[in-house]
Amino acid sequence: MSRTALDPVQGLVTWTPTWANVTMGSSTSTGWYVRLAQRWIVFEAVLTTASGFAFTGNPRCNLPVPAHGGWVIGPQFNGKAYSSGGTKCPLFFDQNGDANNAPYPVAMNQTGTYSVWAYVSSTVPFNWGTSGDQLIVHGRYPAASIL
Amino acid sequence: MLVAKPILSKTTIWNPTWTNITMGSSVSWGQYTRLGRWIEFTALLNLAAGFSMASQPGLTLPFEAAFVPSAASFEATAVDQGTMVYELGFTNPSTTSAGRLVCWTANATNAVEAAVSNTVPFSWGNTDAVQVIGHYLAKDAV
Repeated sequence: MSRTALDPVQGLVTWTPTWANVTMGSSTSTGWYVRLAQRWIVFEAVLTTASGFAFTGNPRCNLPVPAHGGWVIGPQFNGKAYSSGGTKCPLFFDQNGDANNAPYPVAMNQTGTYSVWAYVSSTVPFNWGTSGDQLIVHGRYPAASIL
Repeated sequence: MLVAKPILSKTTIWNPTWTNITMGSSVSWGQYTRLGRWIEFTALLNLAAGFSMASQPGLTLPFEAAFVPSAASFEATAVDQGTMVYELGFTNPSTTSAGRLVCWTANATNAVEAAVSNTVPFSWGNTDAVQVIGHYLAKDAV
């Protein structure tokens, strides 16, 4: 983890997210977060697939610092799924994560009258490959503790 | 005596610049708040007589970003006045200064991006509107 001083009230911190239900292989995991007014965290986590990558279930990432109150909820998060072939999908998030983990990302399945959740997996929202596909998680929440 | 240091924040009204849109009499309005180098902004475009929209309309950010922000940093809506509100987003920006609007197409099992144009996600007309919110880290301090 490294910290870059920006101004008296916040800093940009780079961080390496960990991903549940993912075999990383040679994939890369990168992330950053800022802490606003001591408490408010805005972060981004990016998983870029490479040789040996596989989803072993529904993936999700951890949070850069623990969340206040023990829960985070889906609407606090926003995501994208990009295939190296050019498919770009919006992602949303299920009902809640916990103090240390983001909720699970979901695509919007449109086969019914209304869009419904489809959990990200090896085939959702596309068939994930091992060469530059990206899963992006962006979120904001209050930290459990101040600095 | 100890004196608490105030958080450096400032909210400013700004006039967003829209790309690939001829404004005519349209009204553009926005505001941004700076928390040090952190920017939270809103932008609104109310279309009016004389406007025209080319493909891939977009928005110039109020300040240059420290690095290319991801599309997940932005959210947007398109208001088809009196009829429908569409969820929009930004495509992954390629620069630190601007982004382009996209909508979600229903032509796939799962939602995927489609470029906004003068007929997507609907045929834009007078009194329609675009709203964008976003946040990112600015390149330069105040």
